Amino acid sequence: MAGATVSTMDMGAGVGVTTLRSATEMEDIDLILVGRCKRNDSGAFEILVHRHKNRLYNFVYRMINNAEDAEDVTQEVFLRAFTRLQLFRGECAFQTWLYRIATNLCVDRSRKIKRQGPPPLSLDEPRDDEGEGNVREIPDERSDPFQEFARQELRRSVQQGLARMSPKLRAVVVLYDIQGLSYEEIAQALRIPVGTVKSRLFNARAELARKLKPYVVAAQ
Amino acid sequence: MFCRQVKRLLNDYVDARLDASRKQRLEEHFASCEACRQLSAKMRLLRNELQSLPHASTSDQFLRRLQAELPSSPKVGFWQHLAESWIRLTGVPTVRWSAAGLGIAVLVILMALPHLPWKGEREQEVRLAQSSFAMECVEQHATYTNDQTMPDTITLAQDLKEPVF
Repeated sequence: MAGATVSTMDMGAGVGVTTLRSATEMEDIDLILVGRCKRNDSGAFEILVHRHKNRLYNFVYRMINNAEDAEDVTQEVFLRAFTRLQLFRGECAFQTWLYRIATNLCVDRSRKIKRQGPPPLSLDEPRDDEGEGNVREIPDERSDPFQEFARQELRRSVQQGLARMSPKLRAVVVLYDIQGLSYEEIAQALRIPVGTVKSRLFNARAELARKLKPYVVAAQ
Repeated sequence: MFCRQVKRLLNDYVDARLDASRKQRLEEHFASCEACRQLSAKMRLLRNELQSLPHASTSDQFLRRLQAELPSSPKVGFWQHLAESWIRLTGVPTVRWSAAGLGIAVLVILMALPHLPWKGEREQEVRLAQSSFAMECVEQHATYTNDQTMPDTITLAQDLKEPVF
């Protein structure tokens, strides 16, 4: 899944690279940057943040389903990664390590929210069923209205289903289907066996599937 | 093929990772099992939807805010380093080690309880109570039988040196 990736990155110190890179090459570059960070090169960490911030933010956003909180949690992930960088020995990819920190923070946050109870409803905030946080989707008038409705219903079901799923299942389905990690990478990130990753993925998908209405499936 | 076996292969089928023969057997099952066919169709639809979700990006202030909060160097404290090294070595979180340690400590205290230094004092108290009670019995007996041979007072020290029982 994490195969060849097109990347545009600024390596800092005047080195600009736009090329097709394999996952291994990307990991090697990360390791070099981590090494530089450990030798107190502050610019290297900035490059690492640049390389991973959007993917990591997308993961956190899908995990906690709130744009502002997602940014705070992503910041916390990078802060933790920075302070614990000396402990990273390169046993897994740097990105996998970041996902591990992010998952732990998201699970902790879910537990805290569960203990506190549901947040009060605000009239100013967009509704859950309005899609991507602040972005309101405008239907395409040219397509079939029923099909368009079914498509929106599918997206709404997926987002609501993800939001209500247990964080353990959610982490696996987001890492696999949205972030594109392999079973092995997920196993490393979550510190669980590959077999558990597969069973959680099936359970997560089946849970989402149960919530789909028949007309949504029929319309696709 | 049974539904249970199908479910084990469904992830790989949806992700198009199955070899030709297994795929064929699975599709033969779908022809006769509406529930599995429906589940497979829904899972494929979901997978496509999840993969097509738009990717969110951080705001423009993200880096500035992060830079303001980053410490000057990535060094960790001694205790944190020690705890993390221990976790890496054993693969067990510190919380579990703490719980295990607490359990062992309680067990050791319970086992050592009979041998603790204040045990002697407690024994003395018990012996004193026993001897006092015994003396009361003897005195009562002497009163009833008009026994005049009983000494008027018996010191505590004598009691302890030569217990009645």
